[in-house]
Amino acid sequence: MIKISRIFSSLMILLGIYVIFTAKQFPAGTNGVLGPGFFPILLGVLLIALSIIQIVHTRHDKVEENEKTDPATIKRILISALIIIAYMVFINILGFLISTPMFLFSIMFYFGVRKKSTLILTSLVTTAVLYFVFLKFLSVSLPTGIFF
Amino acid sequence: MKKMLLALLLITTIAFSAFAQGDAEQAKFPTKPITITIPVSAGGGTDLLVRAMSGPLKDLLGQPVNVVNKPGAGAAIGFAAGASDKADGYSVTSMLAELLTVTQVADVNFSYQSFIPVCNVNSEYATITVRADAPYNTIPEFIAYAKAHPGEVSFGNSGVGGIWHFISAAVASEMGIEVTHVPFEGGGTAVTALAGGHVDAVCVTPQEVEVQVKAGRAKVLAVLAPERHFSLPDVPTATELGYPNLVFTIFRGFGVPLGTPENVVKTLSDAFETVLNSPEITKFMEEKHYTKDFKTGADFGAQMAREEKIYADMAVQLGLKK
Amino acid sequence: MIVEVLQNVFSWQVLLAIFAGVSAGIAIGAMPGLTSTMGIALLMPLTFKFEPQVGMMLLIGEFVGGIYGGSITAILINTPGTSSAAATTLDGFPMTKRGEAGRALGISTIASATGGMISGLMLVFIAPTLASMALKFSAPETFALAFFGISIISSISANSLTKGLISGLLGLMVSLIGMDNISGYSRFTFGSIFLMNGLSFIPVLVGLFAMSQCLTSVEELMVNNSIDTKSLKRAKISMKDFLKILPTAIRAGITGTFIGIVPGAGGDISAFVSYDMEKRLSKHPELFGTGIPEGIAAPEASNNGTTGGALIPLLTLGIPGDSNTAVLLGALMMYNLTPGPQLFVENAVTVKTLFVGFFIANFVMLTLGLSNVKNFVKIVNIPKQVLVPIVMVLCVIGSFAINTNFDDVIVMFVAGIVGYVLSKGGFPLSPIVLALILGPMAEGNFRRSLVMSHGSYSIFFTRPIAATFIFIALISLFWPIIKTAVKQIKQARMSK
Repeated sequence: MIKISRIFSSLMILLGIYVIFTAKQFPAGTNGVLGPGFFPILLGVLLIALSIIQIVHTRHDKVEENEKTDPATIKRILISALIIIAYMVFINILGFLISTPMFLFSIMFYFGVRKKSTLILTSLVTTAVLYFVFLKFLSVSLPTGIFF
Repeated sequence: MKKMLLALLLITTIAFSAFAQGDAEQAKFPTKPITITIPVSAGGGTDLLVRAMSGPLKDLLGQPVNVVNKPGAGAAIGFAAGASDKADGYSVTSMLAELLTVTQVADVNFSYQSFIPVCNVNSEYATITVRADAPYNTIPEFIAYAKAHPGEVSFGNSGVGGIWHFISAAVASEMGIEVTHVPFEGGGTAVTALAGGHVDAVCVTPQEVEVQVKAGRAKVLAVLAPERHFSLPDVPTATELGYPNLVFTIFRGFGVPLGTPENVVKTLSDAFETVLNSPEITKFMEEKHYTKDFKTGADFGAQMAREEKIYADMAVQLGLKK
Repeated sequence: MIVEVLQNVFSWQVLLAIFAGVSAGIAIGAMPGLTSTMGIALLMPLTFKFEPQVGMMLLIGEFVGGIYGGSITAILINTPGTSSAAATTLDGFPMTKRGEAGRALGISTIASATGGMISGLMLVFIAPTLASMALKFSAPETFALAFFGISIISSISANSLTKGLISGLLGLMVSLIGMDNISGYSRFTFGSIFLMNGLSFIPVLVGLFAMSQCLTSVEELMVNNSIDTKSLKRAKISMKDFLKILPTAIRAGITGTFIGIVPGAGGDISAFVSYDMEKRLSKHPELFGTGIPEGIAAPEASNNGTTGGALIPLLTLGIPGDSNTAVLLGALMMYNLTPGPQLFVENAVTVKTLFVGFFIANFVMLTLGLSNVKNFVKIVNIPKQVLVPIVMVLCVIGSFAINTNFDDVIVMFVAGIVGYVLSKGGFPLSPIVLALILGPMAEGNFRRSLVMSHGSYSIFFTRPIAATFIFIALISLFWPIIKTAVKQIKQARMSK
């Protein structure tokens, strides 16, 4: 399972190529002053070189302990990510005050919290505290949703 | 899960009914909180002025006034957000001089004409400030020096295409001198470089160089204003020196998206004028060195039209036109 | 005068302002997404009606507390509350994982206060001498410092140098997005106005550390190998620890003060520089990153060292040393306290009041920190199933609040996913942060220098400060290679 670092390094090579080709089209600098494309190209070349070294190296590397992942964990991460995405969508529609307790309640439930008092109290108290700190104390506005 | 769905349904219904109610009451203004978008970050000169005004404004209009900072990309992010807000008068954008410059260099979907100008409240003007130990003390001496050393005199600015770049380029072009423009991250950083002797001149407001002038590290040769600045009574204006085109207003005003009802714009403009002339804000502006400059929406619009033209010409000359 | 100053400082208003400022700072600093700079900017309008020394002390207290507060969450949940605390996660979180959260917090508190006090001493006694240093820094010097900072990547890439460098390069690439300040050209923005500004640093930081840590914790919820919080051994810092970190804290405090003086360089850079310095000076550099006291003390003393350091050019020259003091400059002007040498003459009492107040703020921070260690540790005691959701909400709200822009929340989330995948692949995250902070600083100042020199590269070698930093940076960058080369030569000689 040396996959992740190899896949990632290959992606980095592609990124490097993309950056170099895009930066080639940037306007050139004038009077010996470097243009906006100089650094992107330099970084692109370095990134490609290092990624190749990394790919060659990983062949000899032993399995890194962090990279062990079983399908159940991946599923769990994906579902958690989906709940967060849902929260990010709902916060723009329903606003902070409604979507935050909903999010907290559902994700805690998914994580296996079953005690009703914990579920309800944590959801409501966290929302209230954040609302007070951000809106009242620091007067930073929070997403209000499209209805209010 | 069932309970949650039920709750969700209930909440949505309530929300919708509140929404419908709001629509019906459009005739009266304001009936709900007003939001002022500031396209620069919290803690700066614009932010402090608008936040100071928001308190009395709330008392006058009887509705909360929320101040929201949307900084970034030379104020373009805030302007873009403000221009696409609902045209109902509840979304006000603070209009700054950057509105005229950022549109020249960046590929943006708004211009100063995307807003109905409500009014102007404060105007500052640029200066030509040089190092205190420079061998010139007047504008003619400065020009003579720059002509004798073409390309050697460096002007610090707040980034290519930023307002101070445009103004210093206009200065160089009007005076017929060749200078090097050194871009910094902001006006303050450019002033720091002037104080350290790393650039020869900057064109920024009197407040921004005040500290360095008082400390004897910088001197002001001219102000680019219609009249002399109260804090620099001995410094001539560029107009007095024979450069009537060198007047640039660093304005702070308010605008609303195109399509906002006329009576709403009028209500807002009157409210801003009343607040601006209230003893509280008058005292605030005096103490904190803001120059009060109320202009009606029409005057404000005309001024922007005049200056926008100059910046547009400048952008072509500098090869920055997008 | 002394009597007057003491009367000023020990008035209940000033003391209350310091206490309130430091407490607010700690809370704001500890929250991911809220920075001390933002805290100062947002508290400023509240202080208009106060007396100058009361208002200024509230803001300076916030500054001091905010820089310290970031370390609490960095240590406890691997989530730096502010960018200054990014380096603190390197050893702070491993120590918490061992069940020594209390010890880690104690070390960070004492180190922060030590660093702050040292910078305060330098502020009071040698401010004018040091201030001139700020004026000597222009584009070439700042480039050299940034380059030196980037070279540290080679030392903080824990296991694999190549992986660390790839992370760093990725960070540098991300920092290219946006309108280029030197040419006005928009790079890699795909026509988006939001991207013209570049990716905001705070949402990326919150995503990389906090959100990715949340996802990692989701894994642990299943495996249930979380820290046995019931047996929090060594809740307090011992005398032995204190003596061990004292030299580190003093060195880091001095380094922090100097970096604080440099315009545009703040606690985030200095924390990494001091961490790197201590690692190089240490007899056991391999233990850095495993949760050792010096690894916490160095960045914490250093970032609080920048507080006094940044105030030096602010008060004596009117030049802010970092983003916090840039906002404080606005506050000073609001109170008609024009910084500069004349401030020390015309407003001598106010200045001295601020000096004494600065020490009290550090003392308040020390007391508040140490007395609350037990309360802070309780955060770790919250079951992961409850804590992780709350941190997730903080990530979303914090990233939104920084610019009131929802696009930043999306940036944070994407950075979270990327950060999670990277750490799974064994790529270190700190180099990305370092590169994001220093990339624009290095590139911008490199090209700015060439504008100033009309294209001549000699500007980097003829100016002593710039040349020195570039030299140190090159050595530090190639240190691993130099070390192996030296070893090989030695071995070759031995075998002869």
